Amino acid sequence: MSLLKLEGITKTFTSPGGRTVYAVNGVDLEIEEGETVGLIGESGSGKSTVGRLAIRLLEPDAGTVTFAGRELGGLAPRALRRARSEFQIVFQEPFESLDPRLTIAAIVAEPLINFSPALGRAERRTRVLEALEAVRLPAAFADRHPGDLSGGQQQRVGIARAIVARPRFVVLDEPTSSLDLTVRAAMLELLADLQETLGLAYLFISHDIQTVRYFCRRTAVMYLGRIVELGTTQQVIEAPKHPYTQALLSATLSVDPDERPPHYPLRGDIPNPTQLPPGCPLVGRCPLAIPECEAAPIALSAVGDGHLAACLRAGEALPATAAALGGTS
Amino acid sequence: MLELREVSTVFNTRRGTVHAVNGVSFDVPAGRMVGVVGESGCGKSVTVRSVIGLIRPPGRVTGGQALFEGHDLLAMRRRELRRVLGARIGFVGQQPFASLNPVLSIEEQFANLVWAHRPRAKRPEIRELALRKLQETGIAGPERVLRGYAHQLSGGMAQRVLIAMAMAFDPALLIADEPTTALDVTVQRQILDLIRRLLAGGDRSMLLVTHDLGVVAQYCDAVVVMYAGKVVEKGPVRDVFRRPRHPYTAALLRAVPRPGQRIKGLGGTLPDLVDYPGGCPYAARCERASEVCGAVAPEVERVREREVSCHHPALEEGTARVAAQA
Amino acid sequence: MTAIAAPAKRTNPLWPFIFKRLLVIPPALIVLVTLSFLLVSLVPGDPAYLILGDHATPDQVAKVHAQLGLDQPWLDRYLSYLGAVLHGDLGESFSTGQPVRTQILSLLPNSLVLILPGIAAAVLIGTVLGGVAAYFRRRMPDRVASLVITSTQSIPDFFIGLLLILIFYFHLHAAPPPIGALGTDTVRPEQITGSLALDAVLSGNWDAVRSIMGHAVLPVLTLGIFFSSYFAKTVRSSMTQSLASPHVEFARAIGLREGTAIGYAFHSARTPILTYAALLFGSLLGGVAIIETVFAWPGVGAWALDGVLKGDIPVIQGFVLFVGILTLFVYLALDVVVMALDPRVRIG
Repeated sequence: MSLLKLEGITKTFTSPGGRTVYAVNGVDLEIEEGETVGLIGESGSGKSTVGRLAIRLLEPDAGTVTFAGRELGGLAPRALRRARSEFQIVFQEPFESLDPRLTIAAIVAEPLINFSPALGRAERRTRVLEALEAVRLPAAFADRHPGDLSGGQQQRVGIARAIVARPRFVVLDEPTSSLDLTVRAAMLELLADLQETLGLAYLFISHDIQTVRYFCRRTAVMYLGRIVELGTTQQVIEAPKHPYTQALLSATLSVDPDERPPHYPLRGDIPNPTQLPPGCPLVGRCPLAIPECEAAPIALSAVGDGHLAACLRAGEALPATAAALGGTS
Repeated sequence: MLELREVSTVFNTRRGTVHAVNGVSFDVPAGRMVGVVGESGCGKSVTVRSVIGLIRPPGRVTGGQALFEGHDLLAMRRRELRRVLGARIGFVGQQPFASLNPVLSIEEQFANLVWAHRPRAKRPEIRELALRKLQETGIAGPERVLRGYAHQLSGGMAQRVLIAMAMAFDPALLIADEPTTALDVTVQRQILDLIRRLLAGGDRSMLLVTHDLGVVAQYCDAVVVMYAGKVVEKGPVRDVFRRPRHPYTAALLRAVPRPGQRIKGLGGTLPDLVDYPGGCPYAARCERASEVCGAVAPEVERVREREVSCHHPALEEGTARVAAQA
Repeated sequence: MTAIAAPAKRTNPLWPFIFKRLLVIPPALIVLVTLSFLLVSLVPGDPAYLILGDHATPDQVAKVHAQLGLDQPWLDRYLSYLGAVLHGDLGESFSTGQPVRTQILSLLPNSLVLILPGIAAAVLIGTVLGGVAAYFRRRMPDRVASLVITSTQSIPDFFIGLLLILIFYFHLHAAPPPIGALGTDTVRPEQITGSLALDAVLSGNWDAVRSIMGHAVLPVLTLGIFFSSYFAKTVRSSMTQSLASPHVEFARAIGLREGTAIGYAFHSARTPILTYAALLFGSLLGGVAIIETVFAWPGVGAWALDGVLKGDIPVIQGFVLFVGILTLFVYLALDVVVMALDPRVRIG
C-alpha cells in the first residue's frame, strides 16, 4: 500500500473575469514510504497546488487524497488535524514563512504545541533542540529571531519545523530555489540525510530540472494542470517520451560549454489557462500535433516499465528546428 | 568596448560602511558576450549599476574608471551620461514587469525613451520605430502590445518589450542584469536566443550578470567570477569552466547538480563587508588557504587571456581538474 | 517635447460601478437622518429655556414645548422630521429663528473659501516636504524636512493660527487684522444669495473680493501648515519606496531626465493623497470651526459650533445631516476618481 495516493485530483479557481481555471486537472500520483518523487513544471503547471492538495491545505474540487490507507476527505476536522502531524510542508521563501517576531525555538515548537499538547515545556524544548541539531543548526540559534539568520539558515529552520513532529511525508515546495548555488548543495545533502534517518518520503516540487534529476528517484512532469509524463527519473529525464518533456529538457542549459544538445522549442508561450481547448493542453504549440489530439483529453498510457506518458505519439522524436525560432505568440 | 579599471563602490549604512565593490577590473571586448557570475553579496549587480550611474546615496562610487567609447562613464556629468544611457548602452533588468511603468501604455513609455534622446521626434516616427523594434524581438501583433499596458503582458513578452526598448537606438553595448531569472526555463531559452540573435553581426557587445552558470556556459564568450566585491577569476568560458584555477570557481562548479556525481556545497559565510578582511576575502572558506592568504591580498596572475587572483591557484595544465567531463 | 509622466484621461466604462454606488445613497441617507434625529436625545438642556431665558414659567415652557412639538410621542416626532427633511425643510434655529437650510447654504461658501484652498495648501506643502525628504533620504534636506514635519504635527491648529497672526499682523503688518472676512472699511456686497463670498463675486464688488481673499490668507495658511504633515508623511514613505523601485531605476537607466523619473515615482502617492484629501474635506466641514473662531470668519463651522454650545437642536440636526450628505457624495466621487486613474481597472 502506498503512503500517499492522489486519485483524480482536480482544483479549480474562478478568474476575475468569471471564467473557470483548472489549476489542477485530474492528477493521479502515488508516493511510497521513504520515496522521493519529483514534480517538475513551469508557471501555471499546477505543481505547487498539487503539493498543497496532497496535504490538504487546499480542498480538491474532485478526487481523493488517501494517506496511509485513510481517505483524508472523509475525516472529521478534528481527526484531520491530528492526522496532520504525519505530513508537513517546507515552503519556498524561508523568510516569508517564518514569523519574524517569534524566536526560532517558538517557531519550531509550534507543531508540537499543536499535535502533542501533552508534552511538557522541558520535553518540548528537548525535541526542538533535537530538530535543530538534525538540521545542523547550533543550539544557540534557538533564542534568536529569523531576521538574524541567513537565507540558508532560515530554510533549515523551516525544515526543522517540518520534522519536529516526526512526520512520514514532507512536501518540499521549491526548497532550494531561493538559495545560492553553494548553499543548495548543503541543503540537498541535509534533506537526503534526514530522509535516511527519519524514513521520510518527499514530494519535491521544482522548476529546476537538474536538481530534480539529482535528487529524486521518480519524476512527474506537469503542464497546465495535468501530469504529462511519469516514471523513474532515469526514464523521464534521460529518455523522455512526451513532446513537452522533450522540449522542456532541451531548454535546460548545461554548465559544460561544449555540451550543446539540440534545442526543441515549442511554438508560442504558455496559453491563457482560462481558454483551454478540449484535448491535450499542448495543442497549438506541439510540433507533433494531429487532429486527434484536440478531440478529447489524453490519458496517461504506458510507454515503458512503469513509465507513463499522455501522448498519442509518445516516443516520436521532435523535429530539431533551428535555434533561431525565437517563438512568437 | 567597455573597460573597467579598479571600480569601487561603498554604501553608508547605520552599521558602517559596506564595501560592496572593491577594485573590480575587467573588459568587455567588441563583439563579445561577457558573463559576470557570483552568488548573493558578491557585488556583481552593484558593479554594473555603478558603471551606468544608478548608484544613489547612501551608495557612492569611490574610485575607478569605466571607459566606454573613449570616455570614462564614472567621470561624466549626469547630463552627458544620460545621453549615453538608452542610446549607446542598452539596459535590461531583472524583473520585466517591475521595470515597466504600470500606468503608462507601452507606446507612451517608448515615446518617453525616444524623446529623451531625440527631443524633436514626432509621434508617427516613434510608432514606426517602436513597431519595428517590437517585431524584431519576435512579438506578433506589436500594435496591440503598443497600445496596451504592462499588466496585460506575460513575463516573456514583457521582457521582449524591454529588450526592444533597450535596442531602440542600436546600442553598441547591451547590459543585462539577471534578465531571465524570473522567467520559465523555456521562455528563458527563447529570450537568450533572441538576445544572441540581435547582437550577432556587428561589433555589438553584451555584459550579462547572472548567478546561473548554465547561462554563462552556453551564451557567453568570457566569464568573470566575483566574490565579496572582487574579481577572483576571469577568462574564456571554456577554459575557466573546464579548468577552474580559483578554488571558489571550482566550488561553484562542484555545486551544480550533475548526474552521477555528488554535489558539494560550501560551508561558512561571506566575510563581513563592513569590516572587510585584509588578505584574500575567500580565505576563511578555502580548502587551500594558508597563512599568507589571511594576511596579504593575492596578486593577479595573468596567463594569456586568463587571470586569477589567488595565492594557490590550480596549475594551468593537468592538476586539480575539478570540473567533471559531461 | 516634455515627457509624459501621467496618463491622459480616457473615457471609461465605470458606469456600472457608479450606478451601484449611487444605489447605496438613499438607504445611507435614511440612516443619516435617523442618526441625526437620535443625536438630539444626547443634547443636554431644555430648548425652551434657550428660547425663553432662564426665568421662564412652567406654563410658558409647556407652551413652547407644544409649539416645538416636543410633547409628541417619539415616533411621531421622527416621522414628521423625516417628512420635513424630505421636503428640504430643516427647521428653524431655536436661538435666531432663522431657517436652518438658508443659514447653511449662505455660510457654506464662506467656509469653502477656507477649506478648499486650505486642503490644496496642505497638499502642496506636504508634497514638497515629503518629496524633499524622500529624494534626499538621510541627508541634510531630509533631516530638515523631517524636522519640519514633526513640528507641524505637534502644534495645535489654533496655536498656529495665533502664531501667524502674531507674526504677520502684529509684527510685520503684512496681513489684515483677523476680524472676519471683510474688515471694517470695505463695503458689504449687496445681498443676492445671502452668502458673503458668492455675493461679492456675483455683484462684481471687486474690493470686497480682494478683501475676502486677503483676509483668507492667514487662515488658509494655518490649515495648510497644520494638515501638511499627514500628506508629507504619506508622500515621504511612498516616494522613498518608489524612488528605489525597478521601474524608476529603469527610467534612469534608459536616460530619461531625472524630473521624469521623479514623476514616475510620485505616481504611487497619488491615490493616498486623493483619499486623504477627501477624508480631510469631510472632517474639515466641521473641523474648520476652530479656525473660523480664531479669525472671526463667518463660516458654517463656527455657526454650527455655536449651535452645539447652545443646544440649538435644529441647527445641530441640520448641520449633521448636511455634512453627512455632502461627505457621502465626496466619498463617491473619490472612489470613482481613484478607480478611473488605475489602468488595471480601466482596461482590465
